[in-house]
Amino acid sequence: MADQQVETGTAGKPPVRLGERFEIHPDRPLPDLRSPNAAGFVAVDRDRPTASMFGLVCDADQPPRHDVLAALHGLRSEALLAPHEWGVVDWPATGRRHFAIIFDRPTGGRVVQSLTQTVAPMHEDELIHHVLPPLIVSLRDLFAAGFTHRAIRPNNLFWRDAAHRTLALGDCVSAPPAVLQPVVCETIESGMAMPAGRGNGTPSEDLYSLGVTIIFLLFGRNLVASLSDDQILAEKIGRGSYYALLRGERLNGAIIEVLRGLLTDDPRERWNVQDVEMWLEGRRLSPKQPALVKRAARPFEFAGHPFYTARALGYAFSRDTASAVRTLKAPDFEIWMQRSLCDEDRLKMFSAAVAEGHDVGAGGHDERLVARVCIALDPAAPVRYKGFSAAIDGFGTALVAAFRGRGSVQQIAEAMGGRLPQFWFSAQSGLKPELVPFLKSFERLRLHLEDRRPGFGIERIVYEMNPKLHCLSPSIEAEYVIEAGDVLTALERVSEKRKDDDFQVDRHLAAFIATRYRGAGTDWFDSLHHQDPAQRVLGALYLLARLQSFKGPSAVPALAHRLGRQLPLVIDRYHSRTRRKRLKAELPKIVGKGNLADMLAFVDNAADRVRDIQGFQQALRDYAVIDRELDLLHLEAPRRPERAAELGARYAATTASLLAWIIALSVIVTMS
Amino acid sequence: MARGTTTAKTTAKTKTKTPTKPGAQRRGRNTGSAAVTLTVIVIVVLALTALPLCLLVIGGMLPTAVAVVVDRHQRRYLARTVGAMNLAGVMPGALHMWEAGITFDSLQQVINSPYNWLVMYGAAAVGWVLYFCVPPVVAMVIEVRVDETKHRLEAQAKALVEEWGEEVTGRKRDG
Repeated sequence: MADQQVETGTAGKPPVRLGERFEIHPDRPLPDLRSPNAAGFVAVDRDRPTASMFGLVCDADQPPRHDVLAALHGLRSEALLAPHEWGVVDWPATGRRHFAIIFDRPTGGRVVQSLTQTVAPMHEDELIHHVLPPLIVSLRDLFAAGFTHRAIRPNNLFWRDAAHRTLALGDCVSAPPAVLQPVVCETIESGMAMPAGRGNGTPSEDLYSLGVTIIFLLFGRNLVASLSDDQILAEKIGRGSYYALLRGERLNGAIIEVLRGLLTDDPRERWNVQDVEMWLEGRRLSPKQPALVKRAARPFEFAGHPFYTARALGYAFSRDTASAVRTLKAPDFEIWMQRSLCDEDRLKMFSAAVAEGHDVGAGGHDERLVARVCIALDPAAPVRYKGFSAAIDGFGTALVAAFRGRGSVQQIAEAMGGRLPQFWFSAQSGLKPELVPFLKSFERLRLHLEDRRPGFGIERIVYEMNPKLHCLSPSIEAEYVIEAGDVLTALERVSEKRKDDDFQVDRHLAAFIATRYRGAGTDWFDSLHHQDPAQRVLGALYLLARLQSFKGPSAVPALAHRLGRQLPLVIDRYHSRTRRKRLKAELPKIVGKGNLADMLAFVDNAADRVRDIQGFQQALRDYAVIDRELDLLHLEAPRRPERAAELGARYAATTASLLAWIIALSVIVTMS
Repeated sequence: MARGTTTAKTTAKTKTKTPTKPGAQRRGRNTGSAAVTLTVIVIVVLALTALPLCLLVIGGMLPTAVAVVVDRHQRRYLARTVGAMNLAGVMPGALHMWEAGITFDSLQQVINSPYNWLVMYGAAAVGWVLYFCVPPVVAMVIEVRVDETKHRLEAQAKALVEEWGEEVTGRKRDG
């Protein structure tokens, strides 16, 4: 795990500053407070040295939830671990930069370290009167601010006091939403999604997780610890979450009501935070009965198993695409849907799923068909395609995970290119208002996906969908750059260590600048994928020079040096050898100043370029004239002796005539 | 710079220019016959009016007659060269007769002097020498001038290539 790398080799390291107030001590790790994606260390508030604080140094592969960070900081809720400060720090142990967050240190420690751990069961009264009220109040505030927690699980609960009376929900910001949640704590829909693709979800999902956590606290153990994730999911789908999670254990008292309300699988039926608050205040609601799932009259056999519900069949299809394709191409399935399942809505969506396939390209047609049928069978489930599975608001984080080696970028691109998210939206009976922006953005992002230029494509999408994701370009990934204005500073830092390496603007860097710097025009990136290497170098210089002029810094000598090494290619685009020589001689002086705009003007001066082209065209004409004259000389060579003889004879005749006249006149003069 | 491609053009151009124009041929032949006619008229008139002088001229201009006979050139450069010099050589003897009176005695005085024959035929010989020596000299001068022009043009072409690269030749660089 990356967080273990963060923890190792920190002995004797000096404190790391975060902002003006806080210091993180790399040499004082806190193993109890570490989470799977972030290492915990003692932190000190310089303004309040006695305050007990800790810092989480996050794994660079998992982008933190920046929006929730700000919200939690503002809320200052009693039962939520609130961040005081956050930002990027230089971490000595890994030799790179990490995102770090400072929290108040919970004095009572973690309730359990893992879900397999067993603790003393909590009494129902203690739970109802001491534990739940502050948790619900905090969650209500968080939901009211428009955010979800998505990290409610037993091993992310902390005792706020040493007496172990009140609980606080742990960190929910150091990793993408629900990425660390075990399947047992997630709703069926969220559990079917890959961890990185669960998305922010809704308060309803947080309340479901709270219900699961309550069961754990009541029994002091995880009742389904012996089951695998797939088995848990199958049990939840088959029997309903409430019965699946209790595994036959009996519950007494009022707590049954709240658990049935929270663990209802239909999100529309599930208790909301007001329902829980009212119940805590003593207003008893009628206990929810698990809603009846529409079951087929006779089962459908798939992969040797009988299936009675559309959801279970959809889940099975998504896990065995090849068999699902064969099944869908046979007529039995449609007949079963019509005659046995008898669900008009599902049947209509199934027809739409099959029909939509006719206008899609040949590649991956079958897989997309299965994906659409899965959506048709279970519209609330995530989009599932070739093993990729993500909630509609989890595509962004799933894409980040894929780019960091946990998943396939290609599959996500294919799913988006095949308009599966759009089909998912069309399958929803009532589109939630919070999902409308997603629908619009998927349409817009598909255009980016089809654009192969640097600055666009799937790399552009990852930054569009994750507005605070740091730049994943291999050249500056370790610098953890979040804003476009920091790109050049990071490149300068890297270039100081790698002065002799050639510099190239890769697709990630281009997409990052295109997304984060809204002033960037699409033409800024055109030259970056040119066949001519000189044009590519010029394109990189052009892009970075503009970035420098808009965002600074004013001088980047190390980066300029790296670019300058490639500029002879650009200079060689001039025809005039004299100009080339002069420019190459003066280049080191210009590069030394570190101003990219000056470098650009020096090597690609428009007036010089025009003069060069005009000069070259004149030279072409001059050469053609010379060539013609030389050809003429060559052509005349065979006739030249003949012409010389002719001319010589004429000269001889003329000379003789002149001599004769002279002689004649001399004789006349002499004799007269 | 390869020029081998121009060989075909050269041959073609040479072939097209080889035949002499019929008009020029006719004009040359007319000029020749007119000169002969004029010469015959002059000799006849001279023979009728001053027979001794006519005889001197006929005897003294024999080298020219030979030149006229052997000269196959259209423009009769040999005849013109030898004739002019021969005429200049006959001039002193003719003037002597003019001064002494155009009689057979004066003719005899002239033809008896070997010096006069030397002058007449020597002048004609100078004409022959001129005709054979001037063309090689002219050819040599032309060759020298052509070489100079060629070197100058090649130097200019080389300078252009050095300044603007092989692209200026309009031919793509190999490799």
